[in-house]
Amino acid sequence: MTGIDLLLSVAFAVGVIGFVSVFALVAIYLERKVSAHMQDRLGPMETGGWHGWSQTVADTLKLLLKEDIIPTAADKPLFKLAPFIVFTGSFAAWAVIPFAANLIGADINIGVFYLVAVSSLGVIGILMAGWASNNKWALYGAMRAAAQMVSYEIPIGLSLLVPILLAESLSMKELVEVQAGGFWHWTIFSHLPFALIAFVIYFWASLAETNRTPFDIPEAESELVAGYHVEYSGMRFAMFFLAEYANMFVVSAVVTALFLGGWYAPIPWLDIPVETSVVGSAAIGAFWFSSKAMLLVVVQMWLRWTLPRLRVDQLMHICWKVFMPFSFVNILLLSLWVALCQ
Amino acid sequence: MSDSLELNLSTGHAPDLVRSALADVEDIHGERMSLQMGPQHPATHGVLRLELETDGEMVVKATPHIGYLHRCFEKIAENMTWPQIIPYVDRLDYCASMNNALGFVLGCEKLFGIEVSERVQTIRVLVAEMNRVASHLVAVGTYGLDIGAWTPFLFLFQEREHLLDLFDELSGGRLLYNYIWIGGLAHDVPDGWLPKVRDFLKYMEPKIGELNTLLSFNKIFTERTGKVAVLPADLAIQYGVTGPNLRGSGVKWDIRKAEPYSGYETYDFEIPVGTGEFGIVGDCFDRYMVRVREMEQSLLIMKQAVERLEKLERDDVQAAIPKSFSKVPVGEIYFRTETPKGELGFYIVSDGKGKPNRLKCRAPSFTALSVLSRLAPGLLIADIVALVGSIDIVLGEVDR
Amino acid sequence: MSVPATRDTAALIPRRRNPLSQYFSDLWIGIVTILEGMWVTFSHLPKRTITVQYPKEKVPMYPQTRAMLVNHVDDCGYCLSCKRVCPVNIFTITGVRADPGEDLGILPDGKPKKMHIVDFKIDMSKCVYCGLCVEACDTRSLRWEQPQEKPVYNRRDLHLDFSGMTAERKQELLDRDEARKKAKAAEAAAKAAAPKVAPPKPTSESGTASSPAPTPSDPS
Repeated sequence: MTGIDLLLSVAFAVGVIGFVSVFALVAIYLERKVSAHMQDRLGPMETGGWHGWSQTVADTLKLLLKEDIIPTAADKPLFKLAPFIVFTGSFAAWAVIPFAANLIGADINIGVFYLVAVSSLGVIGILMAGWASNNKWALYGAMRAAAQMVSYEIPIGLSLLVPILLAESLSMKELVEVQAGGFWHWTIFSHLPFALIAFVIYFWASLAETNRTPFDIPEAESELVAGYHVEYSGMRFAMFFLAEYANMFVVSAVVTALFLGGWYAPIPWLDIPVETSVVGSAAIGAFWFSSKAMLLVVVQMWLRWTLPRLRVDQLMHICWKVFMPFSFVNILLLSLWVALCQ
Repeated sequence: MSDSLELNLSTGHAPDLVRSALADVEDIHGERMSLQMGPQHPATHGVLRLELETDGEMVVKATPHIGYLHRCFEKIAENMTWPQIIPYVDRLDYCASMNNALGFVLGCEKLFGIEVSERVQTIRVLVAEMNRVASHLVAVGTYGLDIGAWTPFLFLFQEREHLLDLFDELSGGRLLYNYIWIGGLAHDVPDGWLPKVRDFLKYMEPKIGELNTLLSFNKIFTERTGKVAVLPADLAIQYGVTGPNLRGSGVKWDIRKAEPYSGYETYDFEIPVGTGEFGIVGDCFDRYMVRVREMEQSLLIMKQAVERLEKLERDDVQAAIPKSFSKVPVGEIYFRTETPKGELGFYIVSDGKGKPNRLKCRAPSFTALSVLSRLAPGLLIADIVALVGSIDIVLGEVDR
Repeated sequence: MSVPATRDTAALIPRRRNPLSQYFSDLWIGIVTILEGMWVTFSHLPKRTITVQYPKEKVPMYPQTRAMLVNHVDDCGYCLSCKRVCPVNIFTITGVRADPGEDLGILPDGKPKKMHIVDFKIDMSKCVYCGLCVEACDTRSLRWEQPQEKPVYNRRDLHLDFSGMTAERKQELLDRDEARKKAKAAEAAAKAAAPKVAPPKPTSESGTASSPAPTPSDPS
């Protein structure tokens, strides 16, 4: 690795940190507004003037300034470490997210594999948080989170196999590049029944990965008060919050890259090829990519403000008895189809 | 092997849950953990404390602890003149003040031999049914919240807001009214109030359909509540459970029909009962759905009452109020009415000295809560939340 | 897709099917009901919100809303009905009888006002807003008023005084009452002492006028 490469990587990492923070602020604001208008409310309207646009900024400042309370009986080193591990897990995944053809942190040849691997890092942090809090509710939340996230890795992995099988690559960049040329070439439309099923399964299972409703049982507020982060306050709580929203974007980004054509515009002539303009291509690619991912983030919010929460056993039922068989059959049929027709 | 689990089999619990509970306790012998749920917990609907003994996620034993909201209502009432008790009665079940006051006032009126005019009776029925709808809106909305659905809760509170506005205009209070008095009402309905009730009826009817689409028939909701915490009819009767909880178990028992008061016999309405449509008769879903359907019936009664009131001439609604309460007849009475929570009974002893000698309140929430420890073993923690929400207790009434 | 007002639930719930068709119908119902629910929440997005931006816009209150007790002391005849009916005893009322020639005006019920209301204190922090006192007031001097906001920083600020008198005026009236009572007591003592020739002694009555509890001897 040359010095320039290293410099570029560092610059990308700093940029991503900035993007994650800004995205989280926007997403939290968006979530408040979406939920408010779905419930005939207005949401925040005061802070910053126009429609309370700076409410989340103010909230972040408040969280940063708050006293950091650590329970006396907590396991202090673990308690302090846990939020950072959770955040690292979701942050590391951003390295392989292809915002544009030439805007990707590290185009490693096992991109998807890396992504699945680091995104399960978060569960360790959650387990640590729940254990170290020395609180029974937090422990329940952590145990539920562990069971849920480990189980849902499997349907997620199986449904990710569909685009991988079609692109014959694990590199995120190559996975996107096979979808070039209009929305009818996107994986979800080009291989309709298989990719659609894989898309739905991945999207739903990823809700469980990110602990969003209807799979928010690790932090189910009416059951476990707040689950694994019940004892956290201030900055450390903000880290969990940030990680949750970063995770939401990561899973949406993966769906975008693998099923929805990544950085490509729905119609080919809206794209700017890298050969024409490096910056223009990156900008337009990032625009389309982020728009698609944001749309999916909004769908996640929409689901959250519509659906009730599942019970633990039902969650497992859906994972093992619905998603798993469908994923397997899907993969099997797709493999047959690929083997016979291509 | 605990007795509670054996009992549980006979109560017709969802068999697979019980079986797994037995398997857990017998085969694994997991270490049991005691878990304090409440008094500060989002799902205990107030200051209820549940002492749970859990084996993993499974609840082996649940002991409700009450008394955090105890206000000595019965003793205070002994030192109050008769009209002064009504503000206290209002505060028993603060979600349905009108119904509580109605029960107490009707008991007193029967004891004192007071007859009220038809107009007063009709207004009383109207406001009682309005409050029943308001109370059920809270019950159903918070139940959705317990199950994890935020939006129905806020939708229903929006509907309730219209009712509270109507009450505000009628009586001056939004939650605690002191509107129904012994021998009459605080005052007649204001001008232009009845058309507003009509508007509300028109507005409310499609909202129940929307609730059913959004929450009641949602697959996740029916899975969470169906077959959970089944309360069989015989057990419900043994424990003295009344109201929507009893009707959820399939027993057609409603004081408004069985022992009509305040002219309820002249209204046309039905008693919805649990049908077990998503599982077993008497499960959480049935108790929930009975409330939703009771709202529809209450809207029907309200419509009839408004029609009658529009025809009835205005008269003095305070005509039958005794001039002095210090010379009321001596005697005792037990009078029961159907409140949104169930059968609210008042045992009133009057010694003729202007204050009750003894006032005993049979609170429906209290009896409903007593069955909780019987139903809880074998449920998951998430089901405990579903169970507590489905029996719809109000701690103001449990503790009194 | 539209929102049905009611739905035939029986059609949705298959019973006694074989497990496989049960499995698929469960799945299908799950997908359909989730989409229906999403439609309901989506249909609320463009709807007008009901939020009232409180300090900027205010909801008018109804004239009978129980918000704040106010006593119009000119109309108050010192009948103490309000104090008698109050379940939580929030009233502290002291009155001083007017001098024989003094004109205090006419009460709304047509009778002349005979008492100076030296103290009419209401402890709003204890009020349960039952409205019994307002209904009991014969002269309608005690009324509900609807200020949009009446928060205070100190609980003592909820002890409202409606006498409308300065402290000096209050003291003057109380002193006058005291003096009059003393004179009366002395007169009575003198009368009692005249045949027996005993020294006049102060009676217990003299102390009651200045105490917060009103003398129950003189209703209007």
